[in-house]
Amino acid sequence: MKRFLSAYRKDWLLITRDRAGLALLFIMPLALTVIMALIQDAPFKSFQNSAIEIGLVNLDTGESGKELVGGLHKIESFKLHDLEATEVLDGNRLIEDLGLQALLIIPADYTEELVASSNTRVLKLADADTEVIPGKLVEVYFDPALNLSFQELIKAHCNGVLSRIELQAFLASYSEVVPGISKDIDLSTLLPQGSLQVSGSKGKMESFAYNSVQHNVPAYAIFGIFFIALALSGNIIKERDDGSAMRLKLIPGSLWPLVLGRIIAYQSIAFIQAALVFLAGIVLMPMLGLPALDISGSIGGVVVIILASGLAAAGLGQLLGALFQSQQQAAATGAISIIILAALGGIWVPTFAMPEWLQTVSMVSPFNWAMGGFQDILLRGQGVVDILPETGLLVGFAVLCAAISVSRRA
Amino acid sequence: MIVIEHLHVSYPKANKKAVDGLSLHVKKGEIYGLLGPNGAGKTSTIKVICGLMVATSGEVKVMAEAINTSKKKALTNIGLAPQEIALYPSLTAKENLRFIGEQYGISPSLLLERTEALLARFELLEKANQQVQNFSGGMKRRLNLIASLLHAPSILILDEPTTGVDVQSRAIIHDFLKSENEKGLTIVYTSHHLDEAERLCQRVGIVDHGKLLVEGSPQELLSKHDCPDLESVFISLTGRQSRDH
Repeated sequence: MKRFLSAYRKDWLLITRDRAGLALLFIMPLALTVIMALIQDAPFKSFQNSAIEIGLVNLDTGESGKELVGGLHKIESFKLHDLEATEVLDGNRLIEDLGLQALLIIPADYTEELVASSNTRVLKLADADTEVIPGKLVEVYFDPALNLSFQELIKAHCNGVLSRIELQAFLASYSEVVPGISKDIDLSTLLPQGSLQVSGSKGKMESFAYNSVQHNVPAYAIFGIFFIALALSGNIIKERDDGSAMRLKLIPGSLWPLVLGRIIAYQSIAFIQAALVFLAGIVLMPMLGLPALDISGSIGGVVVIILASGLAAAGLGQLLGALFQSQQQAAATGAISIIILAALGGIWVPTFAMPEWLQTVSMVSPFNWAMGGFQDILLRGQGVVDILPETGLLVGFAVLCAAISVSRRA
Repeated sequence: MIVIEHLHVSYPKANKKAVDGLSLHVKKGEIYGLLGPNGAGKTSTIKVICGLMVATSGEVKVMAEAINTSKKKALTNIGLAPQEIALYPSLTAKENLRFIGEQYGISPSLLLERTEALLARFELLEKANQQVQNFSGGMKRRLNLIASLLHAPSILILDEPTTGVDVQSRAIIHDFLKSENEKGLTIVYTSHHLDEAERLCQRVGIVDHGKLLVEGSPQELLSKHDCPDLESVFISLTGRQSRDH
């Protein structure tokens, strides 16, 4: 224990006296967190909250056209802009000129054609040979840059409104043929309500959205934590170059107290570093007009994941220091591998947005384990017990790296 | 104190042996100079004595303990001052010594006592709380030597201990070595300063290409080779061709 404490004190002093390195370790993740949260605020909002900008041109003069416009205006996720009809109507041009995400055009004589179509449908009930006249179609144009899920969302909403109007027209035609059927029936009482019910979730997703702060603060805290691996490996190689490592090998006894002392010293730095990033998420982000980080779920869980991530990062640093001969090799390889592991682990883009095969690959990244742990706590409202699998993986990774480095040094 | 018999050391991928059948005995209480040009096999021999490297073949015993079977016991008797300044530049002299002493398991009171005594002896007490990176070359060498003495070894191995030091620092180191040797400390000494070896060592061994070429007291070697100084003996045995590759 005395040898461990002595090694811890030595490494703590070495880290804290390297002012430039220390500044980099603290400023880099803080700056990245703030910058990325600001940059990604708008995309997160557009994904979560913002209404879709849609232009609407109504060339129809009948009742159904008006009802369709009224129905579309009730959709909360649409921001509809009623546009005047022009002589030459070019949907693609309108989208580009007006900066719209989609354009809907209700054709002329839409109501008239709908009534005609409905009548033939009613007649077909009595006579199967009756030819059904198709109604006029509502046209939709999409901004080519609009992603597929938004396009599907627009189509689904529009089809919902169109179905109601078409049903209303069908009932009107039917009421003229069959006595006693009212054409003014309230469709909301007639239509089935569907079997899907959103009953909330165990977690906190209902109470707040997955915003850029909630993603970027834990993401860049992890990123910063793993960068201590570079500082640690650099110190190991420096120790080997200047002969200090040789002197330590001359001391009878195990190398483990020295390795553990170093790992815990760097882990302490990682903890302070991550705590500052989280503090910035709570205090600084609202000052910049961003939402504040919410860690009220389980502060204990956040602490556990930070500590486990720090261990994993220090273990990785030990391994890099043991594997590489020069500081340049370790720094270059370490930085590249950290960036790749971070990308795979969902630091920049959430893993759910990755292709399926990449999601499978990402499961080997310690960043993914740490990020998963933070998401369990910050988004799903889970506790320390729930993040034990991720914690176990991070600690296991640290032990494996340290064991390999000790065997190589010995 | 140190017995080396038929020592062979080969490095992977090297086409010649670093040490080729070297045998020598270092007696208790003597200063033994292990001399030779660059690449002669001195550092490899020292690394095997200290258990930092495993010999290809041969036997090395330190105080009757075979280094490859009783490494821990042998290491408690050895202090090595390596050629490199094996200290942490951003730590103070005291912090460096405290860390090394604690790793040897020396009790805090004894460690403090030894640290202060050695710092005073090497005229570094006033600089004890300064960071090593602010020390001169000579001060760093002296502190490097102190670090290898903290656990009070019976054998002190010095690898080029006076490289890059001024005359004053060299005198301090020499005085210390002579004085400790008189008290019984066995010293193995490698140096390029042959005049230094001639003055300090009771016996020297000149090695080249991994083999021991001659061994004896400086006076014996001078008269045997009919040379005015040890440098002339060295040149006559190892040639004039530079080994600085």
